[in-house]
Formats: sequence, structure tokens, C-alpha cells
Amino acid sequence: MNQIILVKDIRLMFKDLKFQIFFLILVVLFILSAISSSVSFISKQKSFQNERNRFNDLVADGQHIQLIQLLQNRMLMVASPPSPAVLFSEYDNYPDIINTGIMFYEPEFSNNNIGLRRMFRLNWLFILGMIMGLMMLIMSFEAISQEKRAGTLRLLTINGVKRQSIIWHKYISYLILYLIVIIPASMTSMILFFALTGTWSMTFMLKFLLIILISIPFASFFVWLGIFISMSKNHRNTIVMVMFIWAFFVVIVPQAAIIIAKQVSSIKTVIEYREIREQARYDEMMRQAEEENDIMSLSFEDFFALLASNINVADEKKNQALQREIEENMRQTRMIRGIAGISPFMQFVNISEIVFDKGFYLLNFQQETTKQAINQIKNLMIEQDSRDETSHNLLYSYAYVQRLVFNRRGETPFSEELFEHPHLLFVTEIETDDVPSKIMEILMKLIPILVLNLVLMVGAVGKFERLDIR
Amino acid sequence: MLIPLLEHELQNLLKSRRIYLTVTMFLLLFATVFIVRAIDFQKQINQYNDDVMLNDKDLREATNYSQIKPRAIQKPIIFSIFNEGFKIPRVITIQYYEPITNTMTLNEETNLLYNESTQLDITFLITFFLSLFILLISYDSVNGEKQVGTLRILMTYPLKRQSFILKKTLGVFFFVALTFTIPYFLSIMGITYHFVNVLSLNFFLSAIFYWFLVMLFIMFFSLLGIFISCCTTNPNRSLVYCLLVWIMFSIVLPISWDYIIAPRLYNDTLTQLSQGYRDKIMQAQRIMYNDVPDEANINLVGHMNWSGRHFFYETNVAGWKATHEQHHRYQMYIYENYFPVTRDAEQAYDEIQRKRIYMENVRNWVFFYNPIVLFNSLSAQITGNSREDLLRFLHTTRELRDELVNLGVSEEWLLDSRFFIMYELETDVMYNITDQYDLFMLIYEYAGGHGPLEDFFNEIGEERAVGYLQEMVSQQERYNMVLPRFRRYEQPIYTFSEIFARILQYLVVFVVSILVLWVMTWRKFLGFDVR
Repeated sequence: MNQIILVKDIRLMFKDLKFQIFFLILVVLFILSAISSSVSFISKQKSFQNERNRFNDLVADGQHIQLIQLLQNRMLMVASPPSPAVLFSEYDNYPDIINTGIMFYEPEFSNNNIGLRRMFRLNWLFILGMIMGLMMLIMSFEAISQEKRAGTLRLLTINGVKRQSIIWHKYISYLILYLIVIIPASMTSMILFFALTGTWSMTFMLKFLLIILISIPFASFFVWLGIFISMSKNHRNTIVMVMFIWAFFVVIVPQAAIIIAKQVSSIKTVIEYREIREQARYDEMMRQAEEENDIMSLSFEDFFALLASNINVADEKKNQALQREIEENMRQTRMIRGIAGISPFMQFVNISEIVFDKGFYLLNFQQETTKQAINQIKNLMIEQDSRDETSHNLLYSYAYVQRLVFNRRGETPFSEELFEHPHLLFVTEIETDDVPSKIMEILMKLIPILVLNLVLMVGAVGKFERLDIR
Repeated sequence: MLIPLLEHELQNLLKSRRIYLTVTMFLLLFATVFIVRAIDFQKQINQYNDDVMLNDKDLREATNYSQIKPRAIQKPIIFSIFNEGFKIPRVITIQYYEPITNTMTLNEETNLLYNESTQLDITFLITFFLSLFILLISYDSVNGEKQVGTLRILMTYPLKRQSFILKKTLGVFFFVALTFTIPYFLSIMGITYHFVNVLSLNFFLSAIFYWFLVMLFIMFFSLLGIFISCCTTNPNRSLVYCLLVWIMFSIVLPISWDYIIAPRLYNDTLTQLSQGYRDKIMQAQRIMYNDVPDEANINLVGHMNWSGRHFFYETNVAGWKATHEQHHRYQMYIYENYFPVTRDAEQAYDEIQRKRIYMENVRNWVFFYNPIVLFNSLSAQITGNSREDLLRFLHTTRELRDELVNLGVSEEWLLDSRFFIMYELETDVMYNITDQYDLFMLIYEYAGGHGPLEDFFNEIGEERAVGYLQEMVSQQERYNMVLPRFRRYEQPIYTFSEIFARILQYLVVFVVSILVLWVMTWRKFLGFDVR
């Protein structure tokens, strides 16, 4: 009996015009998303390759990996290379590359793909997160009321089918429908993407499958919502409600989060930050200048060493100010994410970032990796420094180079030696959490949506028990 | 006959619960967005006032050219409450040695780590929600009446089908127009009351024109809803069609153009153009740092370097006079070689922007049937937030720069900020000290009694050193500059007729598409089976 109901439900839905239209749209969208993402993936890869070539040219030049030049330039790059995750989302709100000097962590965040910035991009996130929620709502917003109008609900209860099993079969059939729609279309899209870009990797295939698996609770949330709404008296009024709920989650909450966070946890302007940084450095210099009394008695070299070390300390102060600045930025970003997390759509984005190692999840690790790389390089340089008599004062020399000398020809007090490990300067592998802790994190992030599902389910089943079906 | 029917229609609409739901939602959204945007605008005004004060203070207190950092400051655009449009930098600090483009430093709050720009403004509310709202009201206006049976009764009256459709359209139109107009004019009144200082006649003209555009927009969508409701007899089906059309109009079609078709058409040209721009910048940098001939290379002569309390002369190569001459030659070299290339870079940047404007115009023509796209771009033009406005801001800033350069082009204008310090200190010293020996001692003390300066003095003898210093003092006038008269930058605004001339073609297309839709709806309803 139960099987018959299920099959009947699914068949009814297949016959529905709404379903047919949506299915068509989804297939087209999935294919278009594969095409457009492959275009953007190829251009991203090209620009990344350009960056790499530029770096290789600099290294081959030799000039740029001289210790003295290294100290002057921002040579350390920590980049997250483009990956097939583009098919899911571009994640281009966050920087791809951190450029920094090799003495201190003084990052410059650069973003390769600042181009057309519109609210919607055509990719899986758009389809699975936005269109799918809308589709499930519109499919299911008259699940009960339609049967009620047609009178079939009455017949079912007469035949001794339990009310609970009716609603559960509705629910399960919608989920099966969801999978029927999603799996073939998304697999086509994925294969098309791999074929167009010429990249294929087992890991990413599994990741795409995982993301489809994760999208199920989100789809089920919208199904429960639809079923819940479909039990109201006037089903045509409910469609308005449905549309606004969807728009609220998908558009209003993420956008409002940015505006609210900007008001609540505001950051300073670019110019103000720059002034604060310079002021921190200047104050430190002034303090040191007041402390020094007997510089007259120092020898010339010692005097320079002292001065240079002072500048070094002052630079450190400046970088501490920069750190605070980044922390403020991070705080604002975290606040945006926190407020936007109300919406299940944004939760889905958060989880996808963990799956694909991208976006805000990556940003922390990216910064950590950069700091580690700086330490590693600094140690190597000091080690190299200790082997070379002519560059006895690398750390002090840094300051001397920075502030006091304009590349005089032929007379540098430093070693002309090359840095022996240029490959350390271009980091593309960023360490993130290991797989088990990632899974734990994903599960933790899934809890709110599961709880929401449960609440809606209890509400819907309870309401259906008391529903007047005459 | 028409007026009683209209009254009846409006009464019907007012009775429906669906309407109350949507109107409440819309009003809530409108109020929230308006308040948030107004707070944001107040913040912008505060920043603008700070910038102006800072600028005036800088100009007032400057004693020589090197201390002047003139800024072009743009008044915040009051219409950004309604349409954020294209983001225009608010402050450009004029640096004579860099091309003035959009990539200059901005006095903006930009999050380093998260660069999402919000679009949640009234225009977004209209294009995204109001369109949906109208379709949801009107999707069952014809076939719903048929289902209830009232359509058959109406058709028995001596009433033309044409006027029935007109009444339906006007009913929906008046209702939605009223829902929009009341909060809109209330908010305009609020702005007038609160932001008196930044109002202008242009604001009111724009406000009225914006309102007119919204009315056209509402007209189009009410007709579209009624047209769809004539296409099928089943209201549920027409609902699905409406949602489909809405998704296509607002999301799918624009996205496919922006990410699939437009990149294929323009990416090559744009890459070429931006490559040209980058090449110019690189060329300028090469001129500045690499290609300097020896007779103009300031690295070959000494500098005075300063850090904190200490500064050092390294004039052991050439001496003061030669050093100054070398610096002068360097600046002349920069002026003759570097400046023209930066102008070229500006030209290249403008070309990119013009290409983008062209792309936007093509987009408007491609989507001539899609009021969502048209309304977005037209309202940006009206409110003064379009790409054209950015170009104009850049142009006038460059004019200001040229004016300043022409007022008193001197070597100091063209110096890198790192070298300014030298002149500043010298002038300070020379203003305060009259006795030449004091001057000498001061410099000697500053130098810490060590270093190249000491060697220099020892080498050439104290007498000759004092001679150099005397020469410096005799050149005092050279540093004691008369500041040119500065005018404060005022943002030029396109006059209303200019804007109107620019958007007239699209406006005509908009109106024509509404008329075509009206004829289509009418023809469709003529063939509608009312039985």
C-alpha cells in the first residue's frame, strides 16, 4: 500500500507542468554553468600562470633573489591556485594571493579576478542554493491543498492510510524528485566542465558528489517549509509568502548583513589606517631619538647598526599597527558572516568553503601559512648570513637598505649572494585541517539546518494530524 | 463606464489578503532599506566635511610647494540613497607624477579581506521585488475572473473587450503606483528636511524623473502579468508562467549575457586595452627608475637623508651646487619624458572606460524588452552614479592638476615625496637662523659629528664649506615660494538636459515596448474564450 502511494505521488509530480518547466530550466542552467565556469576557470588559470611566469622570470634574472634585493622587495607570494571548485562558486570575494615582505608579515592582498561584479553568478551555488530552494518551495507549496481540493485526501484516509504516512510519503517523494532532477543534470555539468577544461581529478569528483549530498538537508528544509505552508486555507495567498521567504533568505539576509556589520563594527578609511601605521613608526623613532644620549661616542659603523636596529624596531611597531588593522577587518568580515549565517543559504556557502578549501575558511590558514613561510625564510637567511663574512648584519642592513640608501652603484655593504631557496618564495600549498576534523566541522555546521528541519517536521506533522480534511 | 469599473477593480484588490501581505512586505523592505541607506549617506557627508576641512587646513598652513597635497573632493551624491550605481571614488589626492585614474588612493572604507559590494538600494528593491510583486498581483486577473464566473457576466454588458483590459491594467497600475508613490515622496520629504545642505534643483528633477521611470516600469509589468493571465485559462499555470518569466527577466537572461555571451564578444578587446594601459604604466616606471641618463641620475650625487632626528649629507661626490643642478636636470628629464607617458596612460585608461560604456549601451539594446536591465542602467544615469560620471570626475581632476602645474611649474612639483624632505628641512633651517655659523653648527650637530659630511668638510676645508652654505642662503628666495591661488574643487554635474539627451533613445524603446505589449495583450484578449 505504502509503495503504491509513493509511486502515485511521484507519478503525479512528473505530470506536473511546474516540474517539467523547472526540470528543463535546471538542465539548461547546469549546462550553461559548466560552460561559463570553464571560461572563467581557463582565464583564471591563465592569469595564475602569468603570475608564476613573472615570478620565474624574476628568479631567473638572479638580481631579484640577491639577499639585498629580497629584503627590499615584496617577494613572498602565498597563492591559492585556481581549482575546479570554480564550477561550484568563484569565491572571489576573498583574496587569492597574499604578497608580503620576507622580514615581517606585512601583507598586500591581491585579487586576480576583479571584474564584473553582479549579485548573481551562474554556477552550482546559484543553482543549488538559490534556484533549487525556490523550486522546492514552488513544487511543494500546494502539496496538501491540491489533494484536498481534488478530494483524494479524503479517499486515502477512508482506505485506512495513516495520516503520518501520507505526509511522510509526500516528503520522501519530493526528496526523490530532488535527486532525480539534480543527479543527472549535475553529473552532465561536471563531466562537461572536466571535458572543456581538460582537468579531471578523482578528489574533485568526490567533492562535487559530497556537496550534492550536503545539499539534501537544505532541499529538505524547503520541502518541509512548502508542505507546512500548503496546509493553510488559501493556497494562492501562500505563494506570496513563499516568494518573500525565499527572497529574504537568499537576498535580503546576506545583503543586509554587510550593511549592518559595516555600521556596527566599522573600520577606518584606507588613508586613516595608513596614517596610523606611519604614526606608530614615527612615534617609536621619536622615542628612541629622545633616549639616545651618547651617540657622539659611537664609531660610525656602530652608530649605523644602532640606528638600523632602531628602525627595525620602529618597523615592527608599524607592522603591529597593520596587524591590528587586519584584525579589525577580520572582525568585520566575521560579523558579516555571522549575521548572514541566519540564512540556510549562507550556511550552505560556509560548508562548501570547507569542502573546497576556499574563501573565508582558507583565509585564516593562508595567513598562518604566510607567517610560517616568513619565519622559515628568515631563519634560512640568518643561517646563510652566518656563513658569509661580508653580510654580517643582515637584519640591521635591512633597515639600512630600506631607509638610508638609494641603490648606490657598486658599493653595498652586503653580500651579493643569492638566496638559495627561491622556491620557498612562491607558496601554492596551503595547509588546512585534516579530513576527520574537516568532517567534524561540516557536521557541526550542519546541526542548525538539521534542527530547523526537525522543528519544521514536527510542526508540519502535528498540524497535519489536526487538519480538517472534509 | 470605465470609472465605475475601475472603482470596482480597486475595491476588489483592496479586499484581497494577498495584497495586504505583499504591500506590508514591500513597505517594510522600503523603510528598512531607506533608513539604512540614509544613515550611510549621513556618514558619507561627515567624511566629506572632514575631507574639505583637512584640505583647507593643508592649503592654509603650507609654506612651500612640497607641503601641498591638493585633493579633488567629490560631494556625496544624494541619490545614492535610491541608486548606488557605479561606485565612484570620493577623494583623489593629486600627485603630479602619477596618472590620475580610478586606481588612485581612495578615502574609503574598504575591507581588505572581503570585497563584496552591496546593491541593496531602492532600485534593487524595485527591479527585484516590485516586479515580482506586480506579477503576483496580476497573474490571475483575467483567468481568475473566468474561474469565478464574473467574466462571463461582465461580457454580457455592452462593454468593449478593449476597455475591460484597460480597466484591469489601470486597476493594477494605480494600486501599485500608489503603494510606491506614497513612501517614495515621504522619503523625498524626509531627505529634504534632513539633508538641506546638499540639496540642489537637480535632485528634485531627478526625483521626479526617477518616479516617472518607476511608473513606466510598473506599467510594463502590470501589462505583462495580464498578458500571461490571458494566455492560459488555469490560474495555477499562469502563476508558474509568471514566475518563469520573472526568473528569466531578472536573473537568467542578464546572467547568461554577462557571463557567457559578453565575455566571448569583448574579452579580447578588453584584455588588449588593459594590456596597453599596463604597458604605458610599465614604460613610465622604466623611464622613472631605469632609463635615467647619467647627467640626470640623482643616485650619482648626494642626498640628504633623514630619519627621526638624524639626517646625513652625502655630498662627497659633487658638492651642493652640482647636486642641485643634477636634481634640476633630473626633474626636467622627468617632466619631458615621464609626464607625456603618464598622459598616454590616462588616455589608455579612458579608452577602457569608453569601451565599457559602449558595452553597457549594447547591453541596453540587447535587453530592450527587459525593463529590469533598462531601469537599472537608466536610473544610474539619472542619479549621477554612472560610469560617465566617473569619467567626468577624472577629467575635471586632471584639468585641476594641469591648472596647478601651469600656475607655477617648478622642479619641486615633480619631485618624488621622498626628496621633498630635503627642501623642507632646508627651508626650516634657513627661516630660523640668520647667522651662517649657527647654520653650519646646526647641520654639523644634526649630522652627529660623524659621517660623510664631516669628511666633506675636512676634505674641502671649513672655509669652502661655509661658502657653500652661504650660497644656499643666497638662494633662499628659491625656496621661499609664493603659493599660487587655489580654488577648491567643485564637482561638475551633468545638467538635466544632457542626461535626458543621453537616455532619450532608451526611453523611447521603453515606451514602444510598453505599447507593443499593450497591443499584444489586447489582441490576445480578443481571442480569449470567456465561456
